[in-house]
Amino acid sequence: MTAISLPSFRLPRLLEASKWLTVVLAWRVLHLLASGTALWFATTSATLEGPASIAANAAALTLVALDLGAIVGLARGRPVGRSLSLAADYLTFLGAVLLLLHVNRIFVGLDALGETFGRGIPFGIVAIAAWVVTGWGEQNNKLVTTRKYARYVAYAAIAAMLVAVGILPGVATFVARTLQPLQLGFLTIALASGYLAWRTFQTDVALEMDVKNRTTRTLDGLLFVSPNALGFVAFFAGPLLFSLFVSLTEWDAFGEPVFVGLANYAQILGLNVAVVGAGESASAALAAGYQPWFSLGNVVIGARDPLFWQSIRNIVFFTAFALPLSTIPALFLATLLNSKAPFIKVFRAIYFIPSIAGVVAVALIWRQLFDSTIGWLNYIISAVIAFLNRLPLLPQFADPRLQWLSDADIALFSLVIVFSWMFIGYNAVLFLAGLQGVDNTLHEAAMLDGANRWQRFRNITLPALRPTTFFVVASTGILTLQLFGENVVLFPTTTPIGGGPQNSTLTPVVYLYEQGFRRFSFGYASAVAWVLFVLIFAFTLVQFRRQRAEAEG
Amino acid sequence: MRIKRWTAVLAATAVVLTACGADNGTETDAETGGDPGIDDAEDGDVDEGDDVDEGDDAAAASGDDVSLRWRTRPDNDAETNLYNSVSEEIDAGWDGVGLEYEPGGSETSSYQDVLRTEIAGGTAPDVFWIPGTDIADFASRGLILDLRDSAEASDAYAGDEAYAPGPMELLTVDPDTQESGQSLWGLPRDVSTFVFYLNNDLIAEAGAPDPRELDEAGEWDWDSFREVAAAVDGLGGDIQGFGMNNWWANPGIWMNSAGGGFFNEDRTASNVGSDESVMGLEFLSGLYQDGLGVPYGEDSQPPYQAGQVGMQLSGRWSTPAYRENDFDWDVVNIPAGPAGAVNWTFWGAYVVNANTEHPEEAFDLVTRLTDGEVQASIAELGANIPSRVDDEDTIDEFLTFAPPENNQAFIDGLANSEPEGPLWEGDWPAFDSILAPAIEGVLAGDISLEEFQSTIDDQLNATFE
Repeated sequence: MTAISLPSFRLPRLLEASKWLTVVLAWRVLHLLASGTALWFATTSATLEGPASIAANAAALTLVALDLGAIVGLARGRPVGRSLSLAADYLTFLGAVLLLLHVNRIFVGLDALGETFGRGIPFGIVAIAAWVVTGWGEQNNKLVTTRKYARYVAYAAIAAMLVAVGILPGVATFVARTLQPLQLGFLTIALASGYLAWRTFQTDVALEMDVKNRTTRTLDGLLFVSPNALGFVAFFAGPLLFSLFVSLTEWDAFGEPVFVGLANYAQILGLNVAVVGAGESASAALAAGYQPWFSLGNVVIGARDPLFWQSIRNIVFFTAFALPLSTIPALFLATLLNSKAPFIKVFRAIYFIPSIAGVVAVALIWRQLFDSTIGWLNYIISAVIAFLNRLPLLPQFADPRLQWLSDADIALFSLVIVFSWMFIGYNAVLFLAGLQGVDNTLHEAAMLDGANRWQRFRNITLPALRPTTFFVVASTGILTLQLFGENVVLFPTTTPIGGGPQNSTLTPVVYLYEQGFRRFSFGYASAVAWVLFVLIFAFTLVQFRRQRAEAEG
Repeated sequence: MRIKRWTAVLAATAVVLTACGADNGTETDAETGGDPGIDDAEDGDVDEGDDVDEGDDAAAASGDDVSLRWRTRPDNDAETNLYNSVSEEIDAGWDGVGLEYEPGGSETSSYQDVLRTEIAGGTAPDVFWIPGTDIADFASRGLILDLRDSAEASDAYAGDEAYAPGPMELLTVDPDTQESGQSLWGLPRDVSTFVFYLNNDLIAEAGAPDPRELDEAGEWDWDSFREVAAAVDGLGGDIQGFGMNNWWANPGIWMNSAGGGFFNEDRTASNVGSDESVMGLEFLSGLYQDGLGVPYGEDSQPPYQAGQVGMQLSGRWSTPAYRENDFDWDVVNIPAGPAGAVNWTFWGAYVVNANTEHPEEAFDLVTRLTDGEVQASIAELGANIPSRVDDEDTIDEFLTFAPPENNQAFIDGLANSEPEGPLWEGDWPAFDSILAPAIEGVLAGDISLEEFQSTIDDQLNATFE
């Protein structure tokens, strides 16, 4: 077979290393001026506001800092100057490319591409099939001609797919748009920064600055992780920090945020304890601005935001029931599934299904089951009670006709049932994996020593499962504290949505959604989110400590 | 290996570049203020040159100067299809303007939440529908345009008096002066009222009087309602006398009919704690305590459709679903309380996004969407009542859209009703968040009426501050 070869393309290395470093230093000064101007514009511009303003300021400030550091480093001949310069150019390159794609409306187009992509799927299937054929007989060098033609077919199919999807008008539009002054500017910056980064990254420049191998390897590593790291910063850490800032403001997502300091946190966490006197109402006993939240005898606890504290009380109760109910049965189920019974793999799959089913689908089905008038649960309970009442010698039982979704005393337990049902199977699979890692010789030795099944489970299996148990409890606990979807689907008509009868299923996430997306108090909602974060963090920390203490004996 | 690498790079690049071709401009900046930095008129790929509005690739491609996106909250697929065909019809007869209809999600899929988020992100449509209760919130946040100037300059606008007066009174409030007839925040898409959907088979089986005949005789009041509900409930088993879902409006009609209501006269304070309002709740609470209805908080629609509920409270929007009932059914106006049968007028309005680049065309679209003919074609589906009152034929035609036979009950409800309305001086979501759980507590018997009455107004009045 004639190999298809493509021309090897290498960028030219302009200037020798020492002169190049001088150019880089000059470029850094220019870049600093540009970054400083961008920072000034971002700070003073009236057109940039909200998150866009913060992002622009952060980006410009980062570049200014990198430039300053690089200039100092390069001037002193320190390797760190090269590293910082590389980072600045790399970020400038990425930023320019993204801006070019943005102003050419690529991202909007990618969204719309979904509509035309279907036209290319048949060709895509042909391309994949042909590509598979190219691998046939490769090891013993058979079917050479077939493989050659299959490769041509694959290339042709890929080309046809692109044409069908719309490559030709796409390229034409892209080129036409790129020829506009703004786009050309971004393209120039991207090319210049890209080349500068590449050239500065070359070995001769590194040697010129006595860069250590360890630094080079670090830079290589950072380059590899940069897509993920930048994505993390842009889509996780950035929004997280932004929400922290928002939590210190009063903001409705439309206007300018008003800085209020810790006022949102004070409102959320404000509690007041009072003793109610004879003939006095609880509200009157509390300080101004506090409403009764919880009372014990004549002691009343008031809260500035009783709904938040109700959500905390609900979630603590929910976790207290849902966590053991979705882990302890899971452990015993895993023990059963660890046997070699016939069709055991089928049973494993069946128990796992609820965890891969969507929350909405599961909750919708449970909503039907829970219906107090035509639901299956009450129908079965009624049938069982009717059967028991027909039996002799037994007392007559009353049919409770439980109002699973409308009784404030029961609604939270309905949620516990749904949650536990969803996660028992998933946790069982995790325990199963742990069980299969337990050394069987320990069981055999224990059996020889006369240990019964329970003793072996208690003294061998459980200790061996500690890491798995830690993971299951920690991850399930976090899920319980973040309860949201199940509420919203089971209680869609209550106010707030998901709050359940008399707010009996109001959870912190439901409450922050209500505050954020219904009341448009994004500052307050963000503060609730951060309080919840601290709660979850504390829960996880306790688990970690406990795990470590157990591991250390 | 190099070939594979180049192929992968080329394919990925090609897909990205293809996106330019796939971008048909439906998310253009011009309509929604998405990206003002892009000037498509200069792109070179637009033939119409200077006549083409900036950013309207789709409009340019179709030969239209302006492209508008609009959205409603349809109740079912049939409505979605109908709105689509309405959009296409208006589009075809409107030179220079291209329309794109986007069906929104249902009420329970957070239609308004999604919409608000899109507005914050700058991607909301030019024209959209919102419930009447949200008008003040949207207007006071500057999310929708005051259309008064556009209306006065428009030949197509039929005038405020051409639409249902209750909603128009609330849609024309100037937030500064609190007076009606000043601003214009939108035009009502349609209206609806509450009725009781009857299961005539169950009522006959129970030997109870026919509510429609009682209504005709002027004897359809709370006592006779209770009598019918008790008779049907007495059939035993899973049969329930009446049903109504957990929604703020449902307890409200009992308060209204008792002479009370949610707000005081000028809607600046709570009236929920008044003796009249509490009397309405007391009657309703008695029905539940005596077990005559589907427990409050349970979805009563499925048991009604399953033939297990004698009377189901709902609006016109339930008609399409109930047309599938396999029992004899009809509707009757709500029963009269001490103050008569005081209904709600439910309504929502088409409003214009404050960020639209085409306010005049957007207002024109609103007038076209609320045209009598369009409303009649939508009303024919059964989900709503036209909001136009300037053409009697529209209502006459509505009365023919059977079943139910007794469509007049909806029109009678309109005659004596409180318009569901925005709180121009209060926070409706906060008000609702406090009132709804409190009413749940009363109807479940967990909160006494005395406790409710002594505390509720203080809590609710805080939402007006």
